Amino acid sequence: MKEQLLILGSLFYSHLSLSLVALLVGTLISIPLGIWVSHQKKWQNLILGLSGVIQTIPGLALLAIMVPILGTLSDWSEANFNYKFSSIGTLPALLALILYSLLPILRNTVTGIAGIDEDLIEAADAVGMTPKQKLFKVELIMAMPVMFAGVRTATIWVIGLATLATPVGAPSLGNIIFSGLQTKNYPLVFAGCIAAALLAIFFDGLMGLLEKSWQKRNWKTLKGILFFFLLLYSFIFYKGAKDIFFKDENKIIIGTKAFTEQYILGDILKIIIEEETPYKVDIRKSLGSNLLFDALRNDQIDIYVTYSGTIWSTVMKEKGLPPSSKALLSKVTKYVENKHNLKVAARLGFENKYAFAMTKKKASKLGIKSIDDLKNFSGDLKLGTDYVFLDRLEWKNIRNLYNIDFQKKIVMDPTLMYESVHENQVDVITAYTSDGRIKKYDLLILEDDKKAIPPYHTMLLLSKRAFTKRPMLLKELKRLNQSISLETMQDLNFLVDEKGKSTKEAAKTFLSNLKKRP
Amino acid sequence: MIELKNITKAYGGIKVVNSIDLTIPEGELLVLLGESGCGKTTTLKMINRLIQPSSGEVKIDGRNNTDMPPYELRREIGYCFQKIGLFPHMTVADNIAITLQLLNWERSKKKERVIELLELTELDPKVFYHRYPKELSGGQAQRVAVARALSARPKVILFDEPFGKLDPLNRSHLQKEIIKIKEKVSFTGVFVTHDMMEALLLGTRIAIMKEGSLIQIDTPKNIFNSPKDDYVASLIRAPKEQMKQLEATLQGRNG
Ligand SMILES: Nc1ncnc2c1ncn2[C@@H]1O[C@H](COP(=O)(O)OP(=O)(O)OP(=O)(O)O)[C@@H](O)[C@H]1O
Ligand SMILES: [Mg+2]
Repeated sequence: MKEQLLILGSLFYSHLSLSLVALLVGTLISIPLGIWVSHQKKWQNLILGLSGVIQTIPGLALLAIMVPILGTLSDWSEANFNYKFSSIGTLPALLALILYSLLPILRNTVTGIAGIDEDLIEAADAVGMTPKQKLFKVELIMAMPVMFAGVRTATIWVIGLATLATPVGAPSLGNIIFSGLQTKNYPLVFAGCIAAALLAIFFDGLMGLLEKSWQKRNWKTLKGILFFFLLLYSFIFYKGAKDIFFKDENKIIIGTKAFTEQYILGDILKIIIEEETPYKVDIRKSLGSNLLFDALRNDQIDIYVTYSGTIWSTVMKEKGLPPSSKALLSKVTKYVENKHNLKVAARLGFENKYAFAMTKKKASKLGIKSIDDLKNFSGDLKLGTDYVFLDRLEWKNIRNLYNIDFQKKIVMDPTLMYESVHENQVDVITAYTSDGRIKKYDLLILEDDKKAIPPYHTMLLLSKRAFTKRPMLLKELKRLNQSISLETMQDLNFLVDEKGKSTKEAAKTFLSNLKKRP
Repeated sequence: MIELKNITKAYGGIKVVNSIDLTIPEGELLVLLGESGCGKTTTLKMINRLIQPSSGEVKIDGRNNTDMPPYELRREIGYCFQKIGLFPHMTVADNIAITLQLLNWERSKKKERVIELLELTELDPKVFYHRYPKELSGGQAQRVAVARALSARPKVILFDEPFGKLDPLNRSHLQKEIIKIKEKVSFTGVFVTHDMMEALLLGTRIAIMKEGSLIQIDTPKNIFNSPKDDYVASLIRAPKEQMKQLEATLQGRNG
């Protein structure tokens, strides 16, 4: 409990500092820009239009797209100036949030200034103000309430949106929301949402108070609030600078994708490393699956668990039919180790791949044992699947090889698939083979006789820095080779997904069993 | 001395001020009179460059008014608005002292001058110094606007229907005050109005405008006695007839 509170506190702080820095930078950009376009009518529509376009990009997409953009920039900068920067983590999150904060502040600055009584502007001219004096003594002050409203809107948007910074690797309250949703830990999700909401309400209220005390010329309150902000920002920048310049080089960073198994494996690795080596571990949970490999390649993370089929199809971008299990594994290993100088520290022993699954009852009623059998029912059965399967190679191969389709293909959150096949809402699902709910609902995995689905050996990858400079790490982690059977992994997932255990508890269960073994 | 030389202002080909020539000698209060839309405000604003003339030039004390940056020019010219134009976020004192502040006057001198001006415009400094514009009546606000125009002791002051929105009593009170102020402090002024009575009362001379052109310019007495044409005559006749009508009505009621 105490540890959970600590984690919540640190996520809360990350969320707060990320949002506040984005807001500060956003305000510092958009207010001068707004003032400038207010006096440059021909740019006004263009700039307001552009920032409006940014606003229509969904938040998650805006955040995600920052990663490849920054990656390209970083590669370019490395080629030209020999300087690399991180394309995951705080930087992309910050950039996206800054972009998001621009529009409300910009728009309100422009409308605020445009809304000032013409006569007052003329009066300012008539008493002999220079354009600059007019701006500071009249225009900005008169536009202030509207501009304030813009900053407040931006505050709420940015604090809300910062929950989506998690998948690009910036810790935020989104971490517990994402992992809570995956592991069905709804109190955790709730806590994350409430904390984010409270943060937004608090700062919105504080801004409101600031504005009111300014309107009412209550300088004491005004100064108090400004002082509070000054302290807060000083602390954030001080701490940020410290983290950047005095990086803890002994820290090992583990990245995980956003599902239960990955969280458990992350915790297992963390415990082993912290118990057996002098290194401290940071886990970056719920990272976007396709940025993990690049992050490892760029030493932005040190370890992550992946699956051979994933590397084969999404990183190596191989198309067509997969080779045999053994051939694919050796191809992937070669690619990872020789081409990218990474290390396969261990193969955990189980596979987590896609598989068509049905209830045993329905399967036996319809006489279905393999994917091939489905073709007799093409057009009668409903498929429940996750967000990506239909776009993946697996589905293309299956269609080509087996020539099957479904009456309806329903895309849903992967955590819901198992229950909906059990409840007969769909007939077939694209299950993950290591999921504990296959056992729970007694599902039948349909045979893939024609080998359309590539193998997904679970592999532990180490970054170059991790295995060259931290030899102890490799030695310890090698012990995990072939240590987790499919059944064991299913049981661990089941503990978390259905028994309400935390991922850490599951990890400990596994480790204590591991020790008992000879 | 203010000289307008053949100034014209056109909006989209329509000349709203049409080649006006006008010389206002030092110390004179010239009243610019004409009906709504005839171009009075436009003419006035071309003097302190709130409006750029389409052609022609304006000289103040022999210097072309485009010789210096507009803000410097305007700090030397008091301007009293048709729409008052006090800054709502500043106190009465700050409003009056705004030009002084722009001229970097010392704080104590500024305060002294503000108090002096409040007294001159018959506003009790104790009451009004710290008030905000929204806490003033129309007449009080208008006085503050007059005080603001006077603040930097400008040699030229422009008034654009400053009493347009006041009730008759306040109006005549302020008119008398302008006369008093004019006696106390010397300035060259242009006073815009569409009220013949006001023009006759205040003007050293009156310039009558119609549809952008100057029709007659003379002393109140000469205008009153020998209007140049029917239009001017009709302007004079209006207040006279009103008086007669009033007398007749009142007598009729009494009798
Ligand atoms: N910016 C502008 N664009 C086009 N026409 C204008 C503009 N400003 C003023 N005008 C026109 O110029 C004419 C003169 O306007 P001006 O404000 O000088 O009139 P005025 O004599 O001061 O009238 P009033 O007594 O009603 O204040 C009017 O017909 C007005 O419609
Ligand atoms: Mg006018």
